[in-house]
Amino acid sequence: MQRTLSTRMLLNRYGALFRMPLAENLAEVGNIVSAVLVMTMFMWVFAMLWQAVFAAQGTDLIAGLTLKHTLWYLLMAELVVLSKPLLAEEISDSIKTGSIAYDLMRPLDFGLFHLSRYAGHVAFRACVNLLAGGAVVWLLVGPPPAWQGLFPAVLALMLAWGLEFCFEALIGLAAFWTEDISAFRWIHQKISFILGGLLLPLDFYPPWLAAVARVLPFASIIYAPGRLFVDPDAGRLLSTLALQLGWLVVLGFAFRLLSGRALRRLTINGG
Amino acid sequence: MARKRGLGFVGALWRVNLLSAMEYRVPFIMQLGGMMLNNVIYFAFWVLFFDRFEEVQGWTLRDMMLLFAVVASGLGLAMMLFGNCRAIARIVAAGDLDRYLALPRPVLLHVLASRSSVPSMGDFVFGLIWFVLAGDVTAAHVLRFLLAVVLSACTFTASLVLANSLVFWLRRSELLADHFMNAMITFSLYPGTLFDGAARVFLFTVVPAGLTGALPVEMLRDFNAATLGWLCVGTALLAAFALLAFQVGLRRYESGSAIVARI
Repeated sequence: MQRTLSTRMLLNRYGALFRMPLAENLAEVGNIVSAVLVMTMFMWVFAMLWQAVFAAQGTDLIAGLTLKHTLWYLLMAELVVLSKPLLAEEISDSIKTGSIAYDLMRPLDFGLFHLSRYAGHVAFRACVNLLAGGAVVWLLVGPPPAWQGLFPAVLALMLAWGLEFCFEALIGLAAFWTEDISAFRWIHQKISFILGGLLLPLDFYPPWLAAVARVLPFASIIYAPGRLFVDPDAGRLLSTLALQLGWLVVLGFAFRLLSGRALRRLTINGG
Repeated sequence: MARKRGLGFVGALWRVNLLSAMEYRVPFIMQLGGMMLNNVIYFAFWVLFFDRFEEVQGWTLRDMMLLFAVVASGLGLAMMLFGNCRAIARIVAAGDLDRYLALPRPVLLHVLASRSSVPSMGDFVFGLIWFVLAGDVTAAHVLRFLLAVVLSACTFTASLVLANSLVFWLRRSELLADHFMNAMITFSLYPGTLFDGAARVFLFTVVPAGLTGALPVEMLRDFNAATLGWLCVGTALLAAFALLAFQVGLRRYESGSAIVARI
């Protein structure tokens, strides 16, 4: 009975943390407008680029993808990247300013505290970005090629954001050892873009590079949900989820290990 | 004489900015090197793209190298010398303009030169290296490149001052200014020939990214007086609008009455 109650209490606490960013985002109309503008801008540029590429190639199909497949894929890839909050920066700032002391005083797990808030931000931003970007792509190339890809893509998206959370948290925790983490953030971001297939689907890469990239966690984060969305099949879904879960275990373990070590290094001076 | 004193003042600000950035050696080197590496990895996208498609609307990998070189060096130069051009909206909204108004120096110049961005030095150096790697390092081509970089830097600075000056009328426009800057960078880094008709007009007026990337590269690819003329006229017009917007907007500024010590 005691155990049930405390589990419920914990769920309530983390649930409240999840809902808090939703309220924060709703209160800032400027954030919603800017998210719509950014998503519209990116999808418009991509449409210009890929319309020119398909026209120049004189074909409707490149590496098994049509223009419609490519743009809906790019929308899902952008959705992953543009919907996540700047967690690494938040953790790094809390370490540098010392406000991490307040986070640790709360009767909450450090990782789950950040994960709940992260999930709240992602849930809100993903809805706005999907509506804005989806409307632009729909207007340009019509509806998604396969509606049955929606559910597998949502599953893959949730695991993708879980993986991205681990990466961001690991980079943020690096502030315990280095004074500035911006270089790590930029490099992680650009490696994710390239090996994850943010600007170019991995199917267009040289075969050897595509094969290597597909098994790395960056592709599980960016490439996998979009590819499942435009071309869903049971085999692809199973292999994607298995790879994502495998990487989640590895990165989750790395996060637990590093956060344990980092927090043991913490020294708080005065109050 | 007054102009000489003004230049000396700006030079002193740049010197202080550089010295304070270099005070923390490790973060300085990490930010500078990190930004260069960041740009190299980002460019890998275009290497992969042109490996697959060879050319898009007449643009090849070499043209993209020139585009990255001009935009990175132009943006880097602007942020190194006038790093606050992207922060004016924040400064005004926080009432921090008071400290500049109290001093007998040109307000806009003082605000702009009061900050130098360290990562932008990495952008600037990256651009120079990319230009050399793109080939054709003749004296004439180097001169044209340097001219393109200076004009691109002026356009970046002027358009960011213009976008940030909206804060005098819209009050909370910091986010808008941030998105404007992102749009400028994003649109600058795509082949200019992708955009035509209304899109091209948009990229030479509302978000003048055409003046920071596509047109300077057009001048490098096929130098002619007309392209250079358009580039100079466009940059001068933007600079005039930016100056006017800031001066007119400044009259609407109300002090935050915040008492701050600047050491």
